[in-house]
Amino acid sequence: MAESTDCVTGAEPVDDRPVVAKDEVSDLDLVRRAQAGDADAFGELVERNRRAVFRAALAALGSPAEADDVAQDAFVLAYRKLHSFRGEAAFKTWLLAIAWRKALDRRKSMARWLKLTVTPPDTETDTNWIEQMPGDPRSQEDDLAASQLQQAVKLLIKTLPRKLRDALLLAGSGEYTYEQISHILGVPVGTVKWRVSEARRVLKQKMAAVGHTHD
Amino acid sequence: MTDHRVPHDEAADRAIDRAVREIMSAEPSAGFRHRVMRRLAEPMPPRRWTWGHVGFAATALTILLAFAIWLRPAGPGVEPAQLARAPESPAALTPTAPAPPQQRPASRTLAPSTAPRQPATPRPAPAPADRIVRAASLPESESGESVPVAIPEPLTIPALPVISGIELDRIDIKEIPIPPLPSAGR
Repeated sequence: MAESTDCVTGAEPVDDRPVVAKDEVSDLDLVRRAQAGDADAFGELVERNRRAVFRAALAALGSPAEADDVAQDAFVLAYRKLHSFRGEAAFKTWLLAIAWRKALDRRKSMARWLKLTVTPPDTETDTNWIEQMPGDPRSQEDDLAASQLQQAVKLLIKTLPRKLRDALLLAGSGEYTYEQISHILGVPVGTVKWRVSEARRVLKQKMAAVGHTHD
Repeated sequence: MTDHRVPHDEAADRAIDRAVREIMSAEPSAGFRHRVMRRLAEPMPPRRWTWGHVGFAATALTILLAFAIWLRPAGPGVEPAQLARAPESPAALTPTAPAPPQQRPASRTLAPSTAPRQPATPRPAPAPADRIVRAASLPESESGESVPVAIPEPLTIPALPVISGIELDRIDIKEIPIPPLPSAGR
């Protein structure tokens, strides 16, 4: 699969994966071998895609430990459903869609658990644990005024609406093309681009609100 | 929010990019592939029942039961209309129990009816006269007439066969001496 430029900065994505020789078998060949019962072929697919799957889960969950667990679940589920893969889409895209659904399921269950154990549910139904971290962004912004810019921006990212944050993190990870993000999120490419742009605009507003200006 | 000073776009973008990369910089744990392959080698866990499954099964069972009750044919009871038309012979009209004098006579079938009958439906064979009884204790219809009831055929129970040739051992019961109870000295 051809690598694309970074969705956010336009730079080449940082890729420290092992260099893959051109004569090495393609993902599709490995899938065919795995479908025929070759477990090593699937192991190679795991090795090739583990980071992309892990980071998709990380974008949804925000916790490396949870993301690792969900990524494993996604690979196991993909192996069980491998017979249904027909090759219409790239294996990586198909795999990422599975991982994203798994991550969303985990996010929902985590949100339910937190609602039951930590805080009473908010009136807004479309919230999750990350969005609930700063209960009052204003007071959080006051605290952030004294902290470093990097930490402030990271926290502000967590206060973004879920849809904007997902698009921003997936695009900013440098792992995926806009087309892949579109497939993962199930929205058109134009919508993905708008969400990334909107996320940036909102973030800049929040940064200005807490006094982080760069004149 | 228009009063907020928007930071310089380029610097803000750089700060956002750095923050996003930092958030997404985590790596899958070591031995990830090994753990996945080990899980694949494990037998598939049995499907767990969730509350959703239980609810679905209960709903399906309720619907099935409702359909079964709704589609169940009528029981083997005799239709009241047949009972009303059954006693056509004069003997059948003779009540076995004397009705109170103020009771209205006989049943509706004896009264001249102005309603046209429906001869299209085949009439069932009339019940034998000795199989029709009238009981004064039976509930009466609104018009005060007693309702004839068909008696089922008498139940015959065959005699049990006698098994011969079996000799039971004689049972000797020895008398047990019982001492007199001590008198309660009052």
